[in-house]
Amino acid sequence: MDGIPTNIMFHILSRCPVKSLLCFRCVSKLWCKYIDDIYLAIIHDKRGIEEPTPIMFHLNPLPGRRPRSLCFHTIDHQSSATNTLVMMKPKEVPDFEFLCKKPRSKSSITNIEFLGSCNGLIYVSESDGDLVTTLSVIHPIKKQCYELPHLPFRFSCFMSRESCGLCFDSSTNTLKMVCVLLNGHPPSENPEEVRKNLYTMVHVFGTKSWQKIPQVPSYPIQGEAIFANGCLHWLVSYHDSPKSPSKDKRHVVWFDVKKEEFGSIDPPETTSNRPNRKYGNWSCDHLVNLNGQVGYFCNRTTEVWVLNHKNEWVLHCHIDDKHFSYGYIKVFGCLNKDGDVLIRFKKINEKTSCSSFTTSKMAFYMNHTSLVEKMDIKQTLLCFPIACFHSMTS
Amino acid sequence: MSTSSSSSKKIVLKSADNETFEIDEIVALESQAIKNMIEDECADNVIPLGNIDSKTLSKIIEYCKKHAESPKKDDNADIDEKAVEDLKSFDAEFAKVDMPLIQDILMAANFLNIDNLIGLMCRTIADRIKGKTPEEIRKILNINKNDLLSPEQEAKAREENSWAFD
Repeated sequence: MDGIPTNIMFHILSRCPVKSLLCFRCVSKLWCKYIDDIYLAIIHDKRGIEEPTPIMFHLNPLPGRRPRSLCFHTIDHQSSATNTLVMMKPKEVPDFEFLCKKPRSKSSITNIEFLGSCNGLIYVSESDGDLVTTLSVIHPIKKQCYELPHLPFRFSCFMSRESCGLCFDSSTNTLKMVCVLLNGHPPSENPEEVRKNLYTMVHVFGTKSWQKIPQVPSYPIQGEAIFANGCLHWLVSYHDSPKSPSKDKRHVVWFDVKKEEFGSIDPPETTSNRPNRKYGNWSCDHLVNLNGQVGYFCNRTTEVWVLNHKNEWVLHCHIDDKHFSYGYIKVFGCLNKDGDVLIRFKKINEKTSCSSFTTSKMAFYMNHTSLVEKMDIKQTLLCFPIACFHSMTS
Repeated sequence: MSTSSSSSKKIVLKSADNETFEIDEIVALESQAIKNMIEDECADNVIPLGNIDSKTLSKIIEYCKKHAESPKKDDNADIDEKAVEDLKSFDAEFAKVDMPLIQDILMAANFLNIDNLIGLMCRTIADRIKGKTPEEIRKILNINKNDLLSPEQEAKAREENSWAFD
């Protein structure tokens, strides 16, 4: 076996599940080297043989409610729907704990926010309650952290008209963080004026700095970035979405990582004549990673759309509103290859419009049978196929 | 011998242990390496394969014959589903051999550049090692004992990925 050429070894190993590969690191020094090699991660990604592996995370607060750490739990995949409850329970000891930085003074605060994920890496921000102070990337399986260099720009922690996204440039085998920022308050709401105040900053992992690139999107962006098919995708910010009665969804902005170009895609157009949802509006729309493709949750119709390789929206599923009539729906991703989606429903008190975590429910939505299974878990769950072999520094 | 095959051009392959195999050119063309040799006209009547023994070579010829006979996917868009199934079950049967032979076939297929066969052998090995422990892998694939991790390195690797060893 030792005489087998490297390209053949990659052929073989790329056909094995991630869990087996992690075991195989112990086989020999050579195997360990193969498995840690970045190239394997890439071909593994392309094959997409993995079932998605959900990762659960939750804040671990100190007494007095200040966050102390972010805890991650990997969850073994079990296909049987009946033991979903068991499967989703966090372990006593988390697989990985990301410790928050100590606040500068006793009176100052530190907030930690989950921002997104890309190829099994998770990125988070820490803020002082006003501005983002640190961006970090976490590899929960390999228990590694990478702190990005000091941010040479103002990044509001509310991110209402700004966002960032982690992506992998396969042409250079590098990870990149892309931030699209809005410089102060534009003098007018004219989109052309607003656009002049946008700027894009990129950090290439392993380097020590941020670079400004000349390209900017047509509109400010908002929300979690979804990395798929070599492009980052965001929604146009709610504030800046072109408003007209006929358009009730938000455009999608994409950034081609290799070409460093921005563009936009029209939102999906529904043809159904279901009555509009009572709660919320298109500010509740969001993007979601559906087994490596870009998904769009439309709050008004409670439909989940997926962007196919021809850049056309295809209806993925419809979430039955009667189970989740008044509250906020968040789609986390696909639980399995069949495309069953996992959602969280946060019920809103109709009289006071207050939300409360005690009434939030996880739901396991069966794509094909429309069966909804509810679970009482308060942790945040993330689902994505893990291909966790990206080295973060080289 | 049928008239059709006697009229077609023949290629002779010679194994490391000096056994010769006469095959139709069409069968030999399954190998990209032989195809290149023929196209570049640098192939004599006999092609010596000094690193492939006769046992491995006869398996490879068996594979190439079957695949050369089957209709190619890109020839015809609406390919006969039965033919596809037939080829699949042939491949499955073909791969039912012991691990040393699988590795020999893989190395030879890599040398002769037969893409489908490389893929089939890699899938077979992957299927056989999936879910196995490191000890079992070392035994199955006869890993060089001089290349093992030190006990400390192994303990560290296990600790890092403890969830995978459950």
